[in-house]
Amino acid sequence: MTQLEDRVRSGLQAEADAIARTAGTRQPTTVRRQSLLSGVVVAFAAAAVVLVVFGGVSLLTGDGSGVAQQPTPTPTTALSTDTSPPSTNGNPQFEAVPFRGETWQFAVTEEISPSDGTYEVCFALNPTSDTSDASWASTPWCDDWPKSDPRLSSHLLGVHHGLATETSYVMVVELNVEPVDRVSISGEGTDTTVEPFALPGSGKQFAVVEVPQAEATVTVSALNQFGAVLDEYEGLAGRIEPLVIDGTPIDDTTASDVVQIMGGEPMSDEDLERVTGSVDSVHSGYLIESTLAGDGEYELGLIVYREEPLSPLLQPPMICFSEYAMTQGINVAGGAACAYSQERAEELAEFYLGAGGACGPHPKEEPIVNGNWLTLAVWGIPETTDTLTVGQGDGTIVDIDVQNGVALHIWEGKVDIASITFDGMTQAQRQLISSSLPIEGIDDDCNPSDGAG
Amino acid sequence: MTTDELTNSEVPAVVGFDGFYRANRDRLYRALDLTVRDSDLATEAIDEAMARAAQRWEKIRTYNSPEGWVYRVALNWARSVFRKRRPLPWRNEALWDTLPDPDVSRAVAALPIKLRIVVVARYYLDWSVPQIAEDLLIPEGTVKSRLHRALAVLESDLGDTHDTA
Repeated sequence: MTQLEDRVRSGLQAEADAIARTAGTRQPTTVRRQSLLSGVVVAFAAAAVVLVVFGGVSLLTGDGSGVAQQPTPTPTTALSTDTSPPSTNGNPQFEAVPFRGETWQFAVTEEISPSDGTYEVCFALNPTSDTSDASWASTPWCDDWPKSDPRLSSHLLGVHHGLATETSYVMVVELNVEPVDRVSISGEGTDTTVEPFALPGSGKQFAVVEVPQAEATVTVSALNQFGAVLDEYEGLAGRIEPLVIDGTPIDDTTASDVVQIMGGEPMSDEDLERVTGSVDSVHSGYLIESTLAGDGEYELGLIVYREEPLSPLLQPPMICFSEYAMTQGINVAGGAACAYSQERAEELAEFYLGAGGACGPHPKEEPIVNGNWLTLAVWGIPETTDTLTVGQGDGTIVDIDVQNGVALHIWEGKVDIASITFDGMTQAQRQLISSSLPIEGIDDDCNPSDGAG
Repeated sequence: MTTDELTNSEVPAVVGFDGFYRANRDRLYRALDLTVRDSDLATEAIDEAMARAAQRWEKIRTYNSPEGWVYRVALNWARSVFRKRRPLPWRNEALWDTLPDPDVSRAVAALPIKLRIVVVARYYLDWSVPQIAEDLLIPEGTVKSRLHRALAVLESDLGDTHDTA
């Protein structure tokens, strides 16, 4: 035991004693049952709309030979300590280890919340040997299912790049609850299928595959029983190197290069967490632009930040451009566009770097977003309204969540907006639409060249 | 010896839940509080984990380390909430002013959560490296490396020296 360790031990013990002396220790007579969702509440209003842009180019290099290598994992019977299906009576937990490799295992748990019938599903990809790259090891990633999420319309919810072994990448394919018969993974030298594992209660499915490191990109397909493709993802086979934006590398420790490019100001950790809603994933961020709206009631802003992976299963670090709307210091709405490939990040940067100015039907407010992105911010919406509906020029409809009376949405590129409707629309006091692009059907007077870079 | 008198390491697998709760609840709560730095969150998390343990006690009691299971569940639950809750929960620093060596608390609080988890488990719960690895599902090598990194940071912050983890 070293002097430092002794000091840490004593310090922690003293603090624990202080905790016990204050409000911490209670009489251990009863166990208070908490709802699974208790505490997961309040201020998680950001990310009302999140656009995650998947890059399509890998920085990984390989010999290109694409030597065929069959993934070692195969779906197995649940191996856990408790494989009884959940019921609504006793709130039991289902646990399983449906996929294993030589140096890793993929574990899932599922637990029903009797209060609302949803399932909390957690999954983790853990290395089982020091020989694997353990740097991604972390706590499980959890989410509630079934969930009200537009992503449910697709079968493939995500392809997460997990562990890197000496010869391969372990990828977790996250599927939704719609049954998928097989998952196909193909690349230059890879062509295999895996039967997904479905949790017994929620029906949420996963598949885990190993892909040879020689593969730069892979195509992941969700297939039905007839072999027809239900959904498809084409993307990176493994992790990528640090991002490069406009020729400038964004390394692991700082995104200061971004601020030089964008001309923004560094944000404090507290502000960054408040705006993004993320505690342990966001590494650093910069405020590019902000403005007050609604007679100062709302602060609308644009930030760029670097997001670290939340769990071993999530993607590599991403660079994100995000908008937020805050009132009384609380983030009430937001959206982000993120990329984790060099090519895509450079495209994102170009969007913002080459832009400037905006226009809108109510130009008394300053624009909040530059570039070839269309941002819609509407506030003053009655709080009893939870959805704002946007009719697009092509006939499609986008429903936007309304949180605390604010709806915020970002489109990439040109979008024709034909209509905006929501319950109580006539009660809304103010609207703001800003973009450097013309918005058909909304603003005939908008002049894209006015103030645009 | 009654179950009330049992220490953490002495709790046998056959003990009833009440005894397990009495012997472990407050200690695990304080460890969790030291880790997540939020008393309310720690309370909710440990109660959540204890409730789950109570419901499944017939199975949990057979585990090698029921307290490890409870702590892991509580930690994961807290971290799940941690990610979603805003603003960042943070301890009232006034508490630190009452401590004989508040610099340690501040330095530990400043550690990244992954390092803080292993530091509290090692130096407050007094778990061995293998036990931390087993109970928190972290590879033993990772536990060692995180402890080493944590001590290096603490050494830098506190100005102490350490020979080895």
